[in-house]
Amino acid sequence: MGVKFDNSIVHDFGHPQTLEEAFRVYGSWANIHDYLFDNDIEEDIFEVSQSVEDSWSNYEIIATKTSTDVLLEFDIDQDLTGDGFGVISAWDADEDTGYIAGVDASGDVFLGTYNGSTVTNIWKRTPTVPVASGHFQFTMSQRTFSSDNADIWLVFGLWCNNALVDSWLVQLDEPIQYAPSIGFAYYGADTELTVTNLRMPQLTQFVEWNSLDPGEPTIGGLQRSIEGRYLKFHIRHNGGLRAWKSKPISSTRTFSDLDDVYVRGRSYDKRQLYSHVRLLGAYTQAEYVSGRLVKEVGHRFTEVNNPYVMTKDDCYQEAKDHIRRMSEQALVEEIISPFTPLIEIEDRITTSDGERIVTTRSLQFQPGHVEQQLSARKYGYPDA
Amino acid sequence: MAQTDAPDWSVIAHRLNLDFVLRNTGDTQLDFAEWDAIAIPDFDCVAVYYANVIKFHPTVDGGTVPNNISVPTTTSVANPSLFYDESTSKLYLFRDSAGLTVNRREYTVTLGDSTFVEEVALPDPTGTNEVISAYSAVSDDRIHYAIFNVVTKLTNLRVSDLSDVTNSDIWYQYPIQSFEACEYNNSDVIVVATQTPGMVSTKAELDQTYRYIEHSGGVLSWVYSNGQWSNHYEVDVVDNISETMIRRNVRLSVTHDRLTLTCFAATGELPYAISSYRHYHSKDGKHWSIGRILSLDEPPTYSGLKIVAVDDIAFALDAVSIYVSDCTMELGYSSPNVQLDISDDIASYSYSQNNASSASITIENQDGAYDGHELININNQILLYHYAGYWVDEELLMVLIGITEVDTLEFVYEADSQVINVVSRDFLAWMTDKYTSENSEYWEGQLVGADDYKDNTTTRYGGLRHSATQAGTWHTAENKLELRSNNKEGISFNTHNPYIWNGSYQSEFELSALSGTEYAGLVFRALDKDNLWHATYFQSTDTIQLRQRKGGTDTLKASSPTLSWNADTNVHYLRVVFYYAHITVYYSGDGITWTEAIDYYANGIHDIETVGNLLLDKGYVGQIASGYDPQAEWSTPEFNSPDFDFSPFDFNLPISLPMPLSSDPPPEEEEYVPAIVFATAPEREDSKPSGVKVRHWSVTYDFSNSIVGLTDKNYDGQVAFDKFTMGAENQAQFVNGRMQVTADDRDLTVWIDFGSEQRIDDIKVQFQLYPNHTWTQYVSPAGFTTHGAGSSIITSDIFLGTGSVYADRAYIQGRRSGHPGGAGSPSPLGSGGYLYIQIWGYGDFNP
Repeated sequence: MGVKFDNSIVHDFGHPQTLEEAFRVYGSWANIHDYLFDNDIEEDIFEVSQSVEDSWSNYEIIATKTSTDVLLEFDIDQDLTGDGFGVISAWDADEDTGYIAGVDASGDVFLGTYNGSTVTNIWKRTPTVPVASGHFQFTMSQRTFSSDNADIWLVFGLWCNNALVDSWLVQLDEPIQYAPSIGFAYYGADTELTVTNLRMPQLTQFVEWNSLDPGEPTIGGLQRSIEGRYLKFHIRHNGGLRAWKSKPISSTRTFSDLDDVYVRGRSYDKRQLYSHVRLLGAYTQAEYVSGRLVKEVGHRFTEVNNPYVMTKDDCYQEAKDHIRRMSEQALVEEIISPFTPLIEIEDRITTSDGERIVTTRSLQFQPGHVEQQLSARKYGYPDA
Repeated sequence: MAQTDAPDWSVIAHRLNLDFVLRNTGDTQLDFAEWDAIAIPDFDCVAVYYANVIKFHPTVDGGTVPNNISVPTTTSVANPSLFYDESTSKLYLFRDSAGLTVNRREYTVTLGDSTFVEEVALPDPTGTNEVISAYSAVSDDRIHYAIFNVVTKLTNLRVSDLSDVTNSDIWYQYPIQSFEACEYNNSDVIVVATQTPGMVSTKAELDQTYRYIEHSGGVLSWVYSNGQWSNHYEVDVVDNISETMIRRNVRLSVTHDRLTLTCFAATGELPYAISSYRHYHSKDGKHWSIGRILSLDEPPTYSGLKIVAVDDIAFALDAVSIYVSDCTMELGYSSPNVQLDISDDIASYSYSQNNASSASITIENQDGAYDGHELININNQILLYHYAGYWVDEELLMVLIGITEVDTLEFVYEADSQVINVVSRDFLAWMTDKYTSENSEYWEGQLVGADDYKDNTTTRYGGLRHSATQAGTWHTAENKLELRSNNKEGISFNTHNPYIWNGSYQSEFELSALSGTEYAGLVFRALDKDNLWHATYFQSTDTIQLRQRKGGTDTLKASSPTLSWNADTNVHYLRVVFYYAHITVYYSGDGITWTEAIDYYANGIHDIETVGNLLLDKGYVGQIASGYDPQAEWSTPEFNSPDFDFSPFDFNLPISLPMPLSSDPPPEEEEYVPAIVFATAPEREDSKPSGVKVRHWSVTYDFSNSIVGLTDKNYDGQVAFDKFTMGAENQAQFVNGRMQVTADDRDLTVWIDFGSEQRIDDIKVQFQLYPNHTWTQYVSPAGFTTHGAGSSIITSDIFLGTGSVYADRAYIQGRRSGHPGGAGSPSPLGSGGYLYIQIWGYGDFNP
């Protein structure tokens, strides 16, 4: 038998590139430098208190994600010398296990498994440049690298001040089926680890590359990066680019009966309404049935492929979202309303007829007079 | 119909395009000068340092400004840097001293004569064999450096305050052509014009096939924060730099709310090459706009153009040229001078807001009021700011409800109606059609990949999905990659990405037998089986060795201590991390805890060099091994990709000065803006706006007698070194130039007397010592350091220098590494060696 090799792992020193990053890349390239993005997680200060000195016994879970694509950004300003901290990811709340990546008390960067009190190293190395305080980015994603091999890997990365600290890959026996949680653990002599400016972008899904061909406008490249994902984006009143994935929002304006609101037209198109959706993800699937729509259009089934969906929870959520989108688009109203300067498109409004989302606002200006016409669709949350 | 009670609205038109006009200062435009400029907002002016004088230029022509400041002469003023602290009215001039240290001169600026406060020497940022190649101040006490090591040819990014110097782990393999830094939003943003690893290409000539590198380069940025440098960001990198495809002479400033970067750029091909300045913008130093051609009303010089904003006024500055424009939103702020409220003239107005918003406006043009208007005209890019709101308690409360850019202006002249129909769209139009890509652009996220070599086919090839055999026979068996060549070397590339510059690769391995001759390792930055780096464990030495293979020949670069792995064939783990020139090799016995085995810095290059000195800086990762395999005899025939036993690099990169800008507009374009040049012929004499002839020179020196002279050469920009055979040994040469050898025969001095002051762009001197020595023994321009006094100058860079100067002599000193006089240490004037000299510049020199 000859010389053998196994378990090869490669990474480069590129920056994490999410869908949000794709918007920044293409927007900036087109000279648009102001953005508005939503965050799935947003905390000004997040603290992990320390009750047992020099142990990993304390941890705090921030949130549960249905997706296994995670980019977590945060700042740590305290001196980490002699201390350790780790980002807990793929945390299975039922099993009290997960992965942890970070810096240990000796200054080594590491990846390990974590059971809430003990870290078992999977990987450990002394970094070339000591990990300082500052701005951190942590990434986790579930990936497969073959079309003919069911190899599933969890990929982790940690950046400090926009420089890669290290990346780690762990092969899984099977895809993560649960909704993983993320959080922090602390090991040190201080009383607590203080994390500030914590955020996880809503558009946290990873994009392998962005590209433009000669002569191609930026929107072409952006559409390639978005691919089949359901996103919305537009230019705001201040020239900034807003991009987001639909989620429940509050109403920004309630038109009362006293307001001079006039619904000029309403259409309801049932042709694209399905009451039963099977969502096929990359490794798993889930189905959702809307009882309301079964009543309304009967039992109509459709199957949707979305290779960007990785977990069963994500499939289920995406199936629900698919039905919601169909329901929203089925109902369209044309509304004449008083001029409301602060309304933006895609805002939720409330009328006596129900909850709506502004799709288009048309304004006619004359001296001392502004006529506002809204084209609105049904607001689909929470009862699609 | 709904009727609002007291609504109101307005539309303000803004000119978007900058409109730089050259202000006549009486100074002659200069190329290649060493200068810097900075805004002095509290005195409504800018300061420009050039030739030992700080001049103040007012925002309004004729305005009162502080008197010029004369700065004591120094022998070296490469890349001076200015910083101004408005809160204290302190102006700081940072100047270097012979490329070794930097001094900070502090002035208190006042109307009249400013006061010199003190001169402080900053800590020496250089170490052994290091010189400062560039620096830029970002505050009164923080300065970023590019430090060049003349031996390793590496550039290191550093930062210092008044007491300490901090080195980065960025040891850049290519020279930094130009370098600037600015503080922005609590971080420092560093931009450079430089080369980047190129792409391998192939060409055929007659019966020979050549592989060569298409040289890439352009502008990169780093963000420095919390004492740490980021991984780099690409601002504008072109795949194939050439004399007509370049990005150089970067300048960086903060203009109102954004970073503004400019560089000299050329594109197109001869004879229709286009040269211009381009401007880029960013609000984080990471994400940059496309580089757009800057419109200037007079041709600029080559030495960089810095855009500086002082409130309502924007300057585009070089050493002596003052271009002035009102600030527009291109720089993050719109001067009132470029705004016009058109609300009262609007006859009709509708605004549709959706995913792509648009506004249609009809403007009354009574009596042609807008005909020839300086803002509302077809020659401007016009933004419309839409405001609307209500009167509340006699106070008008309006908010911005949208911004659109005018697409069409339709002037209608009818007897009873003179109007302008205006159609505009929001900034999404910038993404949908306005800004299109000139070149192929690629922004990669972080590459990650892994391979478990699992074979689902039972063919023994099924696990090779990410492997590309380069040499030997490879199978996958028991979910492992296995070399099936009996005691023959095999190389397999991992195909996740063939272009990895900075990265990491790891794999576990087990040798086959205890023959004492087996080896296994990782290849990286590999082009083919004959040109690669590898970090390999050798049974014969029981060490991990870092080797570079060129043309099929290995050179040992570094070795680990012995590991005691040669007594068994257990599984071991290797990992190599390659980050610019820094290569680190780790090993592990369990794949968990890793120990550093080798810490090595590869050499860089200082120039486009000839055969043998090319970096292997980007390529595949993979495996290399040799070991016993009893089944090899009946395995499939050996595979070997073609030999590349010659170094696959055939350099002939004619890079010269960029095409000069012409003031002569093409006759077919009446509205021609001369900043964009279409050169119509290779001959460029007299096309220089200053009237100075443009020439490329070469100087010849034959060692038997003298420098033959400086001759006009290569008007077409095709630059090639002339080659001269050395004559007798150790002959000091004179006439217009001389070459002398010091007592230490490692040193070589070339002194060239031009006879009169000339504008020198760059000088390149190379010599090969003996014809039978390999190219690795020649002294490249990187070996030349700066010396000289008075008007003597030296720049050893060929086209990547820090600029040009006026001088009447060039005094060049080189030193090759090695022990003087020792065995194998050839005399620079060894019989039969070669000397190459080429000088580029401008002037009216007559040989």
